[in-house]
Amino acid sequence: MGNSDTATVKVDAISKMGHILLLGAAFVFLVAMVVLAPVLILSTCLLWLLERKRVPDEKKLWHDGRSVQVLNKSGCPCHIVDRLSISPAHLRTLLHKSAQERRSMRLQRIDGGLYVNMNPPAGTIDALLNPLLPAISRDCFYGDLVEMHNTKILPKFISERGPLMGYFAAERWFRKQIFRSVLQLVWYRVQTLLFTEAAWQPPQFKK
Amino acid sequence: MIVEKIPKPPNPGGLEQLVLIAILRLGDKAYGVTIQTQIEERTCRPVATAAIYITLDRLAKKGYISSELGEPTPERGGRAKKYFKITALGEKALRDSLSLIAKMVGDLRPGLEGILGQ
Repeated sequence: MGNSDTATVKVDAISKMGHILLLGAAFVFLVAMVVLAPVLILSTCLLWLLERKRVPDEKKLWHDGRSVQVLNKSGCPCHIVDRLSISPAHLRTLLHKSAQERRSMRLQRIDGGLYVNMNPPAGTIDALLNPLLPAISRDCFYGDLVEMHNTKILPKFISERGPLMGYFAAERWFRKQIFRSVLQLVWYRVQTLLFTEAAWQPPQFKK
Repeated sequence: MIVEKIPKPPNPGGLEQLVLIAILRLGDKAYGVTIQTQIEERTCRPVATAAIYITLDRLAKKGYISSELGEPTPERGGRAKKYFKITALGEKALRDSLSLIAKMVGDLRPGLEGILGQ
């Protein structure tokens, strides 16, 4: 056997090895797909179901303008306080305690009235808003939304749908506003990045 | 045809005009909520809060408005208000823009009545 024959055999062997490796990779990929895909789908469904079953924050608290009711994680009332008899300090303590327990508690009693203090949404949405609005504008923007929520939307929804459904509807309104605002701000930033100020100038007439 | 050059800085657009007029109307009480309410009440059209802020940002960059922080109030969750004022440049731009529209409309007003439904 000459040198060229040895080289041909080596090339064939390498080619076969390549085929085997390729087939092996394809097999592993297929097995992974067959095994992992159902696992992923099932775990997603399970998470979705658990999320649906979990008592949302909104259900843990409601007020009807007269009393404040704090519900525990299973949805049972654990504190009911009459807003006419409770002292601001007591309510503050209660809310502070509840806030520690559940992270988000959004009720304030100020000047004899009840205000829902919507906190900026934590996590992804707030992280998205950070680069879109300067810090001062962002604070004022949240303030405007909270003011509208407290002075217009919440009283309107409560009078239309009752205390509980009104509170939830107002909460949904607030979340929707934040979501819409993020989309609009992202679109605005894209526009400002794509088009310079000069591009927005109306066409100049020629002599 | 000789046409007068478009003045610089550029004239404010549709929503920018509305926001500037709202600020003028509101005087010392012009901040996000009041501006939005003013526009919605007078035009009978809903305006998103973000759209107002985007427009205010654009107007501030053009130098048409200035702003200062106000007092925090309980119904805002203890957050401060941001009051806006129209600058001299803004007043001039608004005047120019409105006069351009008035010039364009000119004696067409009787013809526009049908379109405007008046």
